[in-house]
Amino acid sequence: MLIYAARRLAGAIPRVLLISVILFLLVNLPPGGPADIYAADPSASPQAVERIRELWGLNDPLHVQYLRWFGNMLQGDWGMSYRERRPALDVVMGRLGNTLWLTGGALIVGLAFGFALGLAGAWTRSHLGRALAQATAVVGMSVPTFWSGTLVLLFFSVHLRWIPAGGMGSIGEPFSLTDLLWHLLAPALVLGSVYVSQWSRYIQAGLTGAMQNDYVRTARAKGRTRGELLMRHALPNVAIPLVTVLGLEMPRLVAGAMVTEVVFSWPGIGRLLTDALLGRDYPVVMGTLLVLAVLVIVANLVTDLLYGLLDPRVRYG
Amino acid sequence: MTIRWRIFFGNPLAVAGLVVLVLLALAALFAPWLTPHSPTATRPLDMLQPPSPAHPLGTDDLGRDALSRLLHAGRTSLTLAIGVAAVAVGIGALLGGVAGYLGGRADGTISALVDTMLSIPALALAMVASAFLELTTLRLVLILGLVSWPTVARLVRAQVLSLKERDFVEAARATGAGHVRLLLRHLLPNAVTPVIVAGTLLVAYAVLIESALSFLGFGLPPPTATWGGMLNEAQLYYLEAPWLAVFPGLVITLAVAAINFMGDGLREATSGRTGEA
Repeated sequence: MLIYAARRLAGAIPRVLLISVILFLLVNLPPGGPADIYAADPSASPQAVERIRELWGLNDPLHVQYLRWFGNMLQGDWGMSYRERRPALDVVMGRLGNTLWLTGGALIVGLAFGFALGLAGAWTRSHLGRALAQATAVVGMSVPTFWSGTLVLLFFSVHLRWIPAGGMGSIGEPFSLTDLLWHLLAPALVLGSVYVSQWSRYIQAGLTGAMQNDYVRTARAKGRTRGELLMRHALPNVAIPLVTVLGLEMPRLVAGAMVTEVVFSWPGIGRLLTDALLGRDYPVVMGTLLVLAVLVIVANLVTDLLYGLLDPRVRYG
Repeated sequence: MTIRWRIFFGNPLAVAGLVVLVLLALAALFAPWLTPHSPTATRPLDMLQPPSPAHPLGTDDLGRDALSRLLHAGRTSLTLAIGVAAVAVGIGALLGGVAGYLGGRADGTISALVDTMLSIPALALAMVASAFLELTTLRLVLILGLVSWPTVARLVRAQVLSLKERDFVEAARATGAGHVRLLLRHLLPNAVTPVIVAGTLLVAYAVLIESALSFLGFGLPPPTATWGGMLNEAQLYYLEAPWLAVFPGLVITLAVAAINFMGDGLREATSGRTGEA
């Protein structure tokens, strides 16, 4: 298992490197780079702009700039946020936890309801029930979260005043876990609902397939009830492929979280990226993108490890 | 593999999806003739009107007719999405085909690029590119196509890998066909059906990602109307004009669901299986 883990970890490193190159080029190649912001200021003299370019090393060849930037990132020097006047590393890391709360909440919602609906779908034998479940699943994954989130806000917060209108805590009150969870409820439900439909469909298909296996037939011959067959014999075999699906969905979950954060004023890295892009806060933009990518890679790594843990055949492959 | 249209048209959901999509496309196509108002003409006196016979979906903060904007936005959003899918399928088929056909180092490089692209949220990449470039419709199509191709590449690579050992490829090679001819004339055409399915589902994905981008404020600049852009503008008027936030999202959902149902129907009609994936 340890060798397997080490191999997966080693495989992730070139990906991080390649991502850093892509991100660097994406941010630094288009015109309107950091120095141009100063150049756009009519009071900035050409000499001053040139001095800034020199000072920031923007006249060096691109690969030199990249190596310097990446070296600094590795050492924890992410530059100063232009807007907040404090280290970009602190700015980004200060928001990361909030995004993890949201994605974690959405994962729990998606899995809990996904399993419930998937089990119900596999339990029912009616064709209509299954067709209905499938149709709901497709509609469910077609609803954009920024719209469903908006409707939830409009109805439950603006109209009924049941839930808070956004943010992570009530203003003027000390932090408490219940208050945080209360604020997390609506965004997590909205973001998780996208996956409920998708995963329930997957779980249902997996269960239906697993029920046709010989070991299930054996268990049935031994007099197990249908419920026992589903829960004890079919369900564990759905877990392994489901883990793979979860891993593949991570980038979209993170992207969904970014949008949901904007709708619900949740101060995570998605909102940070939006604000930093609009404010041309380059150090924060670069930091946020790298953290987003590493988040997905770590999630994929965890998936791989879980996979190896759940299915011993994988480890020795 | 061919598309068995009898199976497709025997699937009520797929047919419903097709009908809804055709209606939406027609409404978008004939928008200038269907709507009595201009989508961009501002009438300050009529701002934030609730739905009425004159303005069935109300008016926005500049007094523009919401229904006119919605239909015209359909033109932009649907055309964009089809363009994005075409670009993504083009790049993906080419790179995936080359990777699967050549194998070895070329495959290693392309596959590494695919894996890497898939580990950054496409929306984040598109946001950065849109924020730093002066956005035009063509550029937006290219940006979104450039972040969406990896899934197609992965699919085509797998297809070509399984096809290239088949006898007809061997026969073509024996008659002296070169690499380019083998790939373009013999391998890729046989991977077309799964790519059509993937391309259809990509259109739905493109509608969603373009709307998300516009909603976040990184879409086409005003006064161009897009569905996501209309939702973005509606944000400021939740209290005075909540109806502005309802209809654009409804149309997005309708369009995306219709395309997804169609894509699922196509998948069923090509794979022969009637169950889920």
